[in-house]
Amino acid sequence: MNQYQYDAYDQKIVEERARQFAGQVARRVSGETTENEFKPVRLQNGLYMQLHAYMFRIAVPYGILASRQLRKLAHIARAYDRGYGHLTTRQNVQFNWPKLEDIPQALEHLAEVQMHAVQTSGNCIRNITSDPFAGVAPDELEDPRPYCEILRQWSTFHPEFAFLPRKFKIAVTGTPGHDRAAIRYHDIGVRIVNRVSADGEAAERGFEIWVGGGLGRTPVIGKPIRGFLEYEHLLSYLESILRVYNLYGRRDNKFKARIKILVNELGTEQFRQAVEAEFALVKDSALRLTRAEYDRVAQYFQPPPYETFEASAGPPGAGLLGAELGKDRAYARWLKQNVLPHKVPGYRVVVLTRSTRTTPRAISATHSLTRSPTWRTSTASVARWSCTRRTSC
Amino acid sequence: MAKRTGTHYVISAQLLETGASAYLTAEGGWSTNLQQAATVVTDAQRDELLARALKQERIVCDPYFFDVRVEHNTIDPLSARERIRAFGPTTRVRRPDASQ
Repeated sequence: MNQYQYDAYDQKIVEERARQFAGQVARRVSGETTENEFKPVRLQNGLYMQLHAYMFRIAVPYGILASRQLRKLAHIARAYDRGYGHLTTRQNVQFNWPKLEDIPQALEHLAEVQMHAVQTSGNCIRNITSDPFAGVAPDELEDPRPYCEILRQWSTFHPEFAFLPRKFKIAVTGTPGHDRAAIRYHDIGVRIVNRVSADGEAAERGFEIWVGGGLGRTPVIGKPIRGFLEYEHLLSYLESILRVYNLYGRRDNKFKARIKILVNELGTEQFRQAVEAEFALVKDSALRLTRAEYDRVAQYFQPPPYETFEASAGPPGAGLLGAELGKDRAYARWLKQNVLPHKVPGYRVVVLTRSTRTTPRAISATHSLTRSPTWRTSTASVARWSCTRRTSC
Repeated sequence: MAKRTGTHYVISAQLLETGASAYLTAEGGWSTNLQQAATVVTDAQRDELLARALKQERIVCDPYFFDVRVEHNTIDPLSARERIRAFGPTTRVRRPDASQ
């Protein structure tokens, strides 16, 4: 399984969260607490009140789902919603018609498969997103998922950043030439890069940091504020950015509260100087990322045992493709658009859509998901997606 | 808030159980059908209804009022937001379930 596995502490936290929320819902329903008291608690568990119903958002860190997790989401869709969910741009899952009293039980089900809805809402650091082809892209310098997981662990329940001026989104890519993670449209974008060392020989691995991008009602392309950051300073540099934002970000107007507005108002250079000043204070603190910690996390993202194919051959059946193309133009078109190179010779990345004639674009018919073998990829039953639907999440 | 001529007020909220749009009725209950809502004309009547709604927090969330026009016994919201809340198209459409 190339997916991070919860330890006993992680598991206890998500199980306790579900139990705590059951009590909080019971107190709200009994009238013991008011809506004003309940609302922050509800939002901290990913439950929004939207125009027609509640909306329940579940985090899928960097867009990777094991098949058992996908089946659990399908069960939640059938048992507590209308049989389908939405896969969002930022790699979350949303259910749009749940009942309040069912949510604690849904959280219990999620905890059984190491999932939760923590920090999918509210003015905090949201789900860390990444390249949907992370780990299999041939143009990737390094798999970004271990760094995503390290950032996830750092940002989850971070006490200093629980009440930011506004929501905060981070994306990481390991591909210098192709921004599939849309890092320039995030509050912080992290790109893995190489730098030639001072002696001109070995390449040093690090990050390029972008800040202040975003979509919504004020679309802004992020600005690069650090061309090269040594890998061990990833957490301390991001913490410095968050501190500057937390201190100077506007709280008087929610439409002016995102970091993109602050960067624009201060100017990129002044913002960068403020971050660097903070960074000088914390760069050698406990936030320094050690090789041992990186290795501990990276072990969960080892590639599966790929088969070896001859350079000119491919997986079984691959030889048929060329013969079919001339006969079936629709198939050829699909092939051209949806079958992409893979980093391992003989393998391909295949993009599948779950839209059908009876289900709207980018809405997943979860019933068929549970039966569809196509979501089982060759990488140890792990599914991943990229989504084109523009949803604020 | 200045009252617009020819308009009435309706008290609305969202049901605690489901989040569905609901409207305060003349009997003091809640209906998901806008046409069953109580309509009032004066600010005093509106405030009295709203005060009554605010006491029902175990049933609904965040009651508020909005303007409607009443013609031929039909209640028609004046804002696009309230028209969508009341009539859809997103509210009552149940998309086909792929399992059926």
